[in-house]
Amino acid sequence: MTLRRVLIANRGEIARRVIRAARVRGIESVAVFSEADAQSPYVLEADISVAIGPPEARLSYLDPDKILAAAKATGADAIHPGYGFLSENASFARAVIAAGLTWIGPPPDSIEAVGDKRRAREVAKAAGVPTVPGYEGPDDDATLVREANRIGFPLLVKASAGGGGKGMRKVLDPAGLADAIASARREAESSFGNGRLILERCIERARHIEVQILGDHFGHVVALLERDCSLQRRHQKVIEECPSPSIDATSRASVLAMGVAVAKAAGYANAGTAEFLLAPDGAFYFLEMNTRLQVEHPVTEEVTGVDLVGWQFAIAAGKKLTLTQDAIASYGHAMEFRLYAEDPASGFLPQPGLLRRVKLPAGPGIRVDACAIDGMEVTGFYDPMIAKIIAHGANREEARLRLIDALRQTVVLGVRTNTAWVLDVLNSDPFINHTLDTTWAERELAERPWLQPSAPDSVWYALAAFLSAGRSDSVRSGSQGQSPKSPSPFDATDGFRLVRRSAE
Amino acid sequence: MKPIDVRYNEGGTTRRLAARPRGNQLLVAMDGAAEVAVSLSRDDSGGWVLQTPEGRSRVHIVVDGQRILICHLGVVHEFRADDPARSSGPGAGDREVRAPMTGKVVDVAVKAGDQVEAGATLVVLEAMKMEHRMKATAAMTVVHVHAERGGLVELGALLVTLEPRDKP
Repeated sequence: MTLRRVLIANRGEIARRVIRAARVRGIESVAVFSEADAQSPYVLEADISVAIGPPEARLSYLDPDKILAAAKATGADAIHPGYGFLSENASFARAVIAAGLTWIGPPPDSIEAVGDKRRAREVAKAAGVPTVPGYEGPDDDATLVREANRIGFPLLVKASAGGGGKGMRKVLDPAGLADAIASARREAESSFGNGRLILERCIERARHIEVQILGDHFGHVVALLERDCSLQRRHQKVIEECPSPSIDATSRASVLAMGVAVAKAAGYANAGTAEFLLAPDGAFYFLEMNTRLQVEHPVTEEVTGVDLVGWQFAIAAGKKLTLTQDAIASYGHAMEFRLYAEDPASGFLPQPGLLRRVKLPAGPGIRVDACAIDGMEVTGFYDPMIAKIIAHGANREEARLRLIDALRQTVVLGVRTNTAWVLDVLNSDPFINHTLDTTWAERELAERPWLQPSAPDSVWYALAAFLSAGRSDSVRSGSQGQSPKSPSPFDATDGFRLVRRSAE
Repeated sequence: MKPIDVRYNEGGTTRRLAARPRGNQLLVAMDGAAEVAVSLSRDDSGGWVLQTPEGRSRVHIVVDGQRILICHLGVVHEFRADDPARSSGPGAGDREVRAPMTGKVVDVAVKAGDQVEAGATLVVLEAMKMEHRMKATAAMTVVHVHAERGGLVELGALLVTLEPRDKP
């Protein structure tokens, strides 16, 4: 089968990544966009773009009917879901296939078998892969309370359909259980339309290791190394690395084999990720599979040289996966930083707003996957990620130093970001020695709230020169404590906004 | 370039900047210290190159409402003209609980007249599909609840007004 035109049911940097992978394969791309994204660069880059409604995701990117109608209207023969939104929605995948289109993702049955935490635990147990001690049976409140007392505290209440910390609550003692169940269920229902919960013992000081899987429709499955995503805040990853500095060759072989075993048991095909906890005693516990391309797939691509999105297209088109486990290359080390519009000094709350200036880094060993330009708005409707900055080096230290240098070149003005905080983390001993775990950042911040570094003298001099050169109004008003409203010559070029209206 | 004599604040630190032009340089005296000769010129990337006796650095500057934002080596510094009137008494922020982001009110846990302890949940907001719990920062009495369960609130919207509990 040959794919000719793919619709990307997503937005932002991942839409751009898929457009480019399609283009080098001679496949045309169709972008869909909500009103909030009409002027986003990915919309321009696609061969065709289609408006699919208002900014609210449930009325646009999460509306299967709108996506399918757009595919029909543009003559697309395939749909790539990216990550998030409808990417792990088995009934959407079925609807795509029923409409006669190619679904660039795993078979819907596999999505159901391992994408849901409850079923994933069952599949893994059947395949002989260890899971975290816990409970995944009927989930009425009374049963959950009984099972929680059996498992012991602290424990985690998790939305079976959840991810990224959504619908997840840590419970320290029986007193907090009822509240946690109610609130997790509510968040799960509103986020995933499914309030089903599971319980897991809380494994303290665990690291997050995940195995990149590729499988074809002929039963061949390989593991493309692992990623270590132990630096997290609010249960969301901030830095991801490949390979993991936490494990040796023996442990690596063991966890890669577990990942392949789960994928095979689920009849998995296309790209996916098997997630594991690495306990302080060295034991791995399978958590679930992410049945899609991951945000952090670039670190694997940099180290293995494999184009994961390219293989997604090939596998979906029915081609055989020609990679063999023994032949998977591993060169050096890669690290990805997720640059978010969020304020590390106030609990990492998202910071929607206007990007007044964006300048992303470049150079040897630096890759940037982004879809942000000057004058663009970070809205409250979607994930506030601005860019992914990936550094690749001959070893971990070279990758770390390249990433630091890249961050020092990065300019994002207008919204607060996590860059300065991550620069501090990248220079800290726990990061350098890799002694951190998934709750390290949380504990560290609770102990010592992070403070924005104060400006060095040179920046004060720059401010003085800027005020002297152009900000004559504020020179007068500065001493009166009033900033000016009148524009200076410098404002004129800074606040420009794109005015292009996209074709319907 | 014009002479300036201003006070600006960054993260709680206020500095006085007095400067006068000399040729195409600027002599800057910071907090009354000796003058330092600096110059600032546009670079080819829309940023600025600052030259001081210590060396060169590249900065990006934008004016954003009341703030001047300067990005230097990846770190953004926010400056405001210093205004003594702005520094209202401590605790003012504790009395008004405002929405830290635009979102939906999924739960209101208090009503007017309630006595709450530090850490008590007042309102639960949902934004970007995450729940955010607005909590009391001290033992307070609820004066007025402005938020309504199920309502949508904008960034900065007043959710709950509190007053300090009378000391026994």
